[in-house]
Amino acid sequence: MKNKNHGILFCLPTLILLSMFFIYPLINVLIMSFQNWIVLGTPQFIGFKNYIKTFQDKEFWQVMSNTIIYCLIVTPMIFIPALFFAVILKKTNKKNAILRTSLFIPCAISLVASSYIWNWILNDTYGILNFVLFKLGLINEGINWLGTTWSARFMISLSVAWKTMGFSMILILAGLSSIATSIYEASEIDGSSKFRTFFSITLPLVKPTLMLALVLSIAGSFKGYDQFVIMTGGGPMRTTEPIIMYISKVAFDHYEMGQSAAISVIFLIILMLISYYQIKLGDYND
Amino acid sequence: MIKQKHYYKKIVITVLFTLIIFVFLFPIYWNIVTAFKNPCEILAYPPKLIPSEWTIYQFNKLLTASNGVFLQFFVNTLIITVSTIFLVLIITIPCSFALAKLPFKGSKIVFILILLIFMVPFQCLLVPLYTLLTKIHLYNTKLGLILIYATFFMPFSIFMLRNAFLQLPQSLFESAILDGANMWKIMTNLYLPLSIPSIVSCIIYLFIETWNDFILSFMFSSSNYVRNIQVGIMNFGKQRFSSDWGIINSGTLIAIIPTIVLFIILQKYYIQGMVSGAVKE
Amino acid sequence: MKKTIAILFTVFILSTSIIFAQGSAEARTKKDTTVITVWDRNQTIGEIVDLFNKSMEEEGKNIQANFELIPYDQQVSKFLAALNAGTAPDVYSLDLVQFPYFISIGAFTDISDIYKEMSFKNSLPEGMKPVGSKDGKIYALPYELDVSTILYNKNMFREAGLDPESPPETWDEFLVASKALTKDFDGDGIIDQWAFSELGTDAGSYMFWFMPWVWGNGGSMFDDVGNVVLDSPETKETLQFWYDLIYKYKVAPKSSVQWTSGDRYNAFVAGKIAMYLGGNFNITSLRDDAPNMEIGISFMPRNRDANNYTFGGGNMISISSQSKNVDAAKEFINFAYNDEALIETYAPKMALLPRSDLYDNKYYKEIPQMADFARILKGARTPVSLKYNQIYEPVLYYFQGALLDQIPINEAVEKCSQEITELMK
Repeated sequence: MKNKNHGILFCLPTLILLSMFFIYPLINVLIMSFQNWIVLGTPQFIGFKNYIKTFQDKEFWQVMSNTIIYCLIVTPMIFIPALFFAVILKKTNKKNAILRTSLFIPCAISLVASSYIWNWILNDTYGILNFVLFKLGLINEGINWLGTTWSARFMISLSVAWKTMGFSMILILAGLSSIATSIYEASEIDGSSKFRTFFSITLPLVKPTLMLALVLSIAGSFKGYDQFVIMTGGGPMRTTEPIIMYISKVAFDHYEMGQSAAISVIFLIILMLISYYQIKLGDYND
Repeated sequence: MIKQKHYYKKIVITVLFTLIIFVFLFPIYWNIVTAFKNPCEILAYPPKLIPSEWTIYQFNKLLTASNGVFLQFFVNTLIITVSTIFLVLIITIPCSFALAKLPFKGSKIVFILILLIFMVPFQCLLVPLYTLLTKIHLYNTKLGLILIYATFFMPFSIFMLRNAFLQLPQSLFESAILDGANMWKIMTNLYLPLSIPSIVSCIIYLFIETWNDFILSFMFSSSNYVRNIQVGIMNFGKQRFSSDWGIINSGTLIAIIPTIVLFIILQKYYIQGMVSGAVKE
Repeated sequence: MKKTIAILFTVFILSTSIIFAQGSAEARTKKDTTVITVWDRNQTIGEIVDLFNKSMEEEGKNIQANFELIPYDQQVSKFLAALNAGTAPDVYSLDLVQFPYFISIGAFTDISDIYKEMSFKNSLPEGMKPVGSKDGKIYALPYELDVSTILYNKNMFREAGLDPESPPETWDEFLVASKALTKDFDGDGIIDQWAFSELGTDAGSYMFWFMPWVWGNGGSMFDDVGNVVLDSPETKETLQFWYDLIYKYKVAPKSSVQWTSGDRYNAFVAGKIAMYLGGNFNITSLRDDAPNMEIGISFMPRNRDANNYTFGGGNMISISSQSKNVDAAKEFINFAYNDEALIETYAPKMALLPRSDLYDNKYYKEIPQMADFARILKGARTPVSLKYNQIYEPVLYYFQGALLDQIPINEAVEKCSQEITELMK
């Protein structure tokens, strides 16, 4: 009895904030998606027209696939190094502290600034990457890193992974630190190799944290926007255009707020489904 | 002999690591170097790795622009960020505890709603939020921004902390109840100290997200007493058809220093080894 | 531990109080003061706002203006949000291409009366006025001007044996110059200096810098009654010329079709490009970024047409229909067109003044290029359309696709024209 009340009370401030600044605007968006929304004046309800229009637009499908492909490329790029570094740098000593800080520094920079810097580095004519490769004699002709579809996808993912990896590393470290050192000591006494320790002890225990970090990372990659606008503008020929860019375009370039709302709702549902299943998969059996 | 081999191995590894770190941090190095260059050198080709003259011209330009308003932006951002972190921690610690340990009738729905916040790109909520803030007279106020940041960044905190609380053994909870402690005490005296790494991760996350935000601060503020540092950098540095690299880089450099300082200070807290006998049982 | 919490808590309380205190810092204006908000993407108008406030104080009038800088990319989003909330700014200096749509939905106030009173109305650029008017009423006036031109590196011209004072004016001359300006200095097969750079990644660039070439060839997007006439031999010829510059004559890098405006600017400053698609807005930054470069200005070259053209762009100043202080806003606009205001704020920055009767000022005399810009302004055209932004997109997609050698030119122009016709329905 007492417990039940405590639960809700503890959640109350959060719920208040949530309803005011999230639920209320979200309902607005939901309503907008069923309207022929105009800026000044009264909008009219048009049922599912916006949704149908979206599904019929081939650009919608293209940006969905762009976003999914980007997510599939960038997620391992972030996670594999994050896991690797978290495991080898988890001990507390000066060298590790410096290395951890160095890996973290790119996280401190804003995504916009980072994208500008990378855009500059990767330019095929005046960028420093090609310059260095020339000097080292590794290439004969400037590589157009951001000019072709797959190369652009890869390089944008690389720049984002560069910036985000440090933080994922921290999350995993936080998760690792809750594993009792006694467990490690026990396994060392047993004589198991570093590899075995990692796979049979560390990995299972850190799985919840890993799943959490994964969910957050995937949701984050679906919401990618600034890096694409700055580095390729969605090109070449819309092959790197993410869905958020499409939503912004429809809202602020075509002035179609209603349709933009509909696309947002569709996006939301898809992302919810993906995340829900992920969390279910990763939920612990204590 | 073995000692020497060990010694060589150490040197090779150190050199290798330094090289890797340098390549990895090269964009940051470039940021620093550009911030200290004269404008005519920034876009020179072949690219200059070391400025022929280290100058603070860019910093000067940024800090004196529009009567030194950049400093005001810095203070604004500091106040807003610190307040957001406080607010989020204060409301999410109890909430995560409840979601983890005190299940109640609607807890699953609450969890899903919080998950939803994370899934929504805030671009689509900008227009309704603008109207909402205007109606409740919080448009262009620090408080308004703090509440918005808190709403959008708290899901991370809730996930992290709920995760951390769930990972602690149930026996801990049960024995505390048997000892007669109430929920609040259990949370503050028992669970919090054991979850420091996660709390610190939350602090770092909240700081980075709030400190580096541009779009929310821009949309929901108009005066120089509320705007934040990223808006300042972009306003001074980015024109329609070209960018002032010197300003963007010097501004970014100023902006990343607090984050790094925070990280260095907090590092030791999430590398805590483990703990008290409490768990061994 | 407890001590730390106590300290942190105090800090929290302190900061909360600061928040509440500062929130009202701006409201310390006198009770009867009319406050008007002015939005613009250009910092310079802030100086006009300061001059205005000073002047209002001196005249004893209770009007104050507040300036808010809106970056180009966020012009529409924040305006839409404000309109929705009913708090649109009093004065808005907005990109001119946005006006046809916003005027059609009633977002602006009729300012025909102050236009009538303006003694200098004939020295405002004629080509831009239609964009801000509808049904004989004036809702916006040209204020900040951007014209598209070619900027070229005079030093490179000299080294190539070309006369730096007579840049190419026709396509043929352009081709001859380009061939001379493309160089491989060290004979390693890699071109170190390109004559020209094409453009891409945002559709506005195509309208701003590519269409004048089509106009110079006698082509057009719309005819006088609004039909889409983009699909024409003239357009195809222009696109073909640009295509050939990359693939046949190899005087422009293929990658430049993917460059942003920033990338092109960087390449020009870095000395990688001899002729660059830019405009008057580049002059001040070029002075800082490339102090040793002598910069020449020329029109986009023409072919079949007898004239050279440029795109007349920039901002127009207007009063939103939600303004509660229309009279004060009108007073501001009149002030903003004042001789002194314009000459002391915009002219030193080498911005193109909206009033040609003021071009003979002391600041312009220092920079010879300003006379060139004034000349070019006379050939400025500004197409009007309700669906500007939507039209941009097929242009970007198809023309970029053609220049990337992914869509045949004829097909690109035809499909683009079809899509635009569809959009206009």
